[in-house]
Amino acid sequence: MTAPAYSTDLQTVTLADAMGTWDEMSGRSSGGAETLEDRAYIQGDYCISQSTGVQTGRTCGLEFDYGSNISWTSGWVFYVWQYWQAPVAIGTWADGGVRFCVGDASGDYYAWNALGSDTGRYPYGGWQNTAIDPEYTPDETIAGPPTAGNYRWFGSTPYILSAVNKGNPHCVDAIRYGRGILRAEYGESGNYATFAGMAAANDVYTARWGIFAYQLGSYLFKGVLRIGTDTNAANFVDANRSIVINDTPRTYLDFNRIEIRNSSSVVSWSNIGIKSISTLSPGRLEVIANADVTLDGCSFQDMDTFIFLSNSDVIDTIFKNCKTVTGAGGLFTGCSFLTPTVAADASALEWNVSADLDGKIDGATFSKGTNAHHAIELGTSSTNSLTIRNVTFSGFNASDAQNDSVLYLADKGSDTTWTIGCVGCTGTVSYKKERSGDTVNITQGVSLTVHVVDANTGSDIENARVLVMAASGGPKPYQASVGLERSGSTVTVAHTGHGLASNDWVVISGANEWDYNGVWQITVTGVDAYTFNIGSKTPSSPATGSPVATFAPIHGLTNSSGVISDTRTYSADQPIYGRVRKSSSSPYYKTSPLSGEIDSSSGASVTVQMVSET
Amino acid sequence: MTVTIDWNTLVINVPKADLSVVQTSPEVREMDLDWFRLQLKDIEDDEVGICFPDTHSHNTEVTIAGVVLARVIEIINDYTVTFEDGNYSVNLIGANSNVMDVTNKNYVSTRSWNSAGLTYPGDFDVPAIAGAVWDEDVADHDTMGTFGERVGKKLLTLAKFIGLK
Repeated sequence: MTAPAYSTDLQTVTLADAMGTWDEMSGRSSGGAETLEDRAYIQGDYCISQSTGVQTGRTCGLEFDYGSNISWTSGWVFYVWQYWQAPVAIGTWADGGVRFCVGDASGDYYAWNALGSDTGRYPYGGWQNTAIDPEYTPDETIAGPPTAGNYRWFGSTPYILSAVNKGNPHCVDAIRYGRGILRAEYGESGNYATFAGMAAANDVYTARWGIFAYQLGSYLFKGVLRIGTDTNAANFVDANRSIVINDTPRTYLDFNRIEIRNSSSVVSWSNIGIKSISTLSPGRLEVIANADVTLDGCSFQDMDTFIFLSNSDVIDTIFKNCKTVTGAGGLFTGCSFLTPTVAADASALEWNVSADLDGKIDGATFSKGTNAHHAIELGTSSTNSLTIRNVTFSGFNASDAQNDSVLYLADKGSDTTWTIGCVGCTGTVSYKKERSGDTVNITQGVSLTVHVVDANTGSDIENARVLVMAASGGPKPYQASVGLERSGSTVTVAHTGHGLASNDWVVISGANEWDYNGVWQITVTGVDAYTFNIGSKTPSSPATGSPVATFAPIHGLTNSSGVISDTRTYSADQPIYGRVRKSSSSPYYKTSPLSGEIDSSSGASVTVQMVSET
Repeated sequence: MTVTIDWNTLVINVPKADLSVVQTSPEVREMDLDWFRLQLKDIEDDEVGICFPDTHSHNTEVTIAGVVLARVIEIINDYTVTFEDGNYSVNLIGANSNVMDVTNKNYVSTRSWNSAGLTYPGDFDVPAIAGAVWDEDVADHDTMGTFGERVGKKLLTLAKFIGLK
C-alpha cells in the first residue's frame, strides 16, 4: 500500500520567473518594455508583463527565446498562461484577442488564437491557460514564414481595440510543452487517489500545469488524465465531483481523454459528472487495461467515445449527447444512452464480444439523437443468440433495414441465423442486417404470472414464497446432471449446454454434501458452466452423490397484490411445477402445490389458492 | 439455538435450550407441539426450505359438542426428529402426534401425551373371519389350557359318549 502520487509529463519552455531572454516582440514593439512582475503572476514567483500605452491594433507583443529548437513529438502541445487585464479592450477570440506565437526566429511566427473578449474566462477576465497544438493550421503568420516544425521562439501578442494607457495589462507566465498528461498512481485504503488529489497537485503554485484545476466547486480539465500507468496501478476512489472538459479549439480530436491503465488498478467513481464544452476535442474515456472499474450513478455529457472492458461495471450511468460506447463485455445495467451524437448508421452501444447481453444492459434506456443511427451494434464477434431484457428504445425506426433501426447486425462473413429474445422491452426492436443472407429471429418474451390468494376469502396474499421449477418435457434444464466444485464461497457448476443466463435461479439437489442443495442465483461463465455464491457454507469439494440442476423461473415473494412474475423467452412450451408457502408469520397457510405449462407464445398465468391454517 | 433441519438426512434437530424445564431432578422438559409445528413452517418457507417437501401435516383443534379435540401433528416425508442428546426427558404436549414414533434414539426419553378419542378400527370382513375360524386346522390349537384344547377334549368326550369312538 502506497500513498497516491501525481505527476505530469509537461516540460518547461520558461516559467517566466526571470527576465532571461524575454523581450518586446520584434515587429510588434510599440508597447512598453518587458517587466518582471512580482505581484500579478499565476505560477511560481514572477511573470512577465508589459504596458501597451496608447497603442491599439496588433502593435504590441512579448517574445522569449528558448535558445534552440525543441525536439518535438507529434501530438504534443504548448500549455501557455496569458493574461489581459482589460477584457473589453481586446478583440474576440476569432479576431485573435490575444494570440500565442511559435516561431524559429525573433519576429518570425505562426500565431494561434488563445484569448478573446468572448471566450474562456472572458469577459470577466483573469489568467487563462491555453493548449496550442503547433501542428494546427495557424490563425496568423507573422513575418517569416518560419520553418514548420522549428519551435524556438515563443510570443504573446494582443489585438487591442481601445488603448489601455495605465498599468501593464499584458502578462505572460509559464510556457510548457508535452502531451499534457496528469498521472495518478498508487493510493491506499483511506488514502485513495482522487480527483481532488489530482487538482491539488496541479494547483500548487509552483506547478499550475493547467491540466486539472479546481475552480468554483468543480474541476476544469484539458489534456490527459491517466489513472494508473503501465508501470504502476492506481487505487482511485472518488464521489460527488463535477468536471468540465475545457474548450481546446487549437488542438485535435483525441487531445482530451481519460485513460485507465494497468490491470491491477481499481477505479471506483460514484456520482461523478463530466461535461464537455469542447467541440474539437469533446473528451474520450478509455479503459486501456482490464482494470476493476466501477462507475455508479455517473453522468457524461457532450463527450466523445467511450471504451470499456469486461471488468468494467457501469451502473445507472447517463451518457447524454455522447458518441459510441464500446461495451466489450462490461456491465451497463440501468444506463441511459440519450440522444447520442453518433453518425448516421452508427450505434450508441457497440457490442462485439461473445458474451450475451442478458444481464448486461438490463434496464437500460436508448433514445435516438439527431442523426439516423442505431441503438446497439452487434459485431462480428457477437454471439448469434442473445437476450435483451427490460430495455427501452425511444425514437428509433420501427421498420427493419433502416439506418435508425434499433439493432445493427454486422456481417460475420457467412450466412448467420440471429436469435434475439426481447424480454420486457419497450419500443419495437427493429434491425438492420449487413449481410443479406442472414436470418433474423426476434422473439418477444412471455410472462409467467403467479397470483396467490386466500382460498376462503379470495384476498391477495402478500409475502408468500413461490418456487416454480421446470418440469420434464420443456426446453429448460430439468434434473440435469451437473458437477459441483467449491473454491471459497464460489461454487462452479459444470452443466453441459445449460442455456441459462446470469441471475437465473437454479435448484440443486442430490448432492451428498447437503449444503450444495438448494436454490441459487447463478452467474454464467460459459456455455457449459456457471457459478453461484454459497455464502459461509463450506461443503467438501467436489460434491459427491448425484447432483442435478433444475431451472427455476420464479423464486421469491409475492407483492402486495399477491403476484410474482417472470418474463423471458422460451423456444418451446415449458411444463412447470412448484409450491407456494406462507408460514413465517400469521396468517399461516398450508403448502399449496402448483403445476402448469408456459406457452412459448403467450406465457402462463397461474392462480394458487391457499388454505388457511391455525 | 433454534430448530434446524438437515436437508440431506431429513433430520429435524431440536435443541435442548428450546425446551422449557418442568422438573430439574430428574430433569424433565416439555415441548409444545404447536410451537414445534410453527418452527417447522417457518423453516419451510424460507429461501432454502421452499425447495424441500413438507415436514409435517397438521389438523388443528376441533370443537365437537362442546368438547375440544386436540390438534394432530404428523411428521411425514421420511423426516425424523432428534432431540439434543442428554440425560433428560421430554414431555410432548399440546397435540397428538407421531413425534415419538419418528424420534431418533439417544439418551433423551420422550413421553407422548397422546389421548385417543373415538378410534376407527376399519371394516370387518365377516366371511373371511368365519372362514379363518371354521377352516382352521384343529390340530394347531391343542395347547394345554387353551380354548382349542378344551373344545377338542369336549368333542372327543361327546364322540365317545355316543359311541363314535
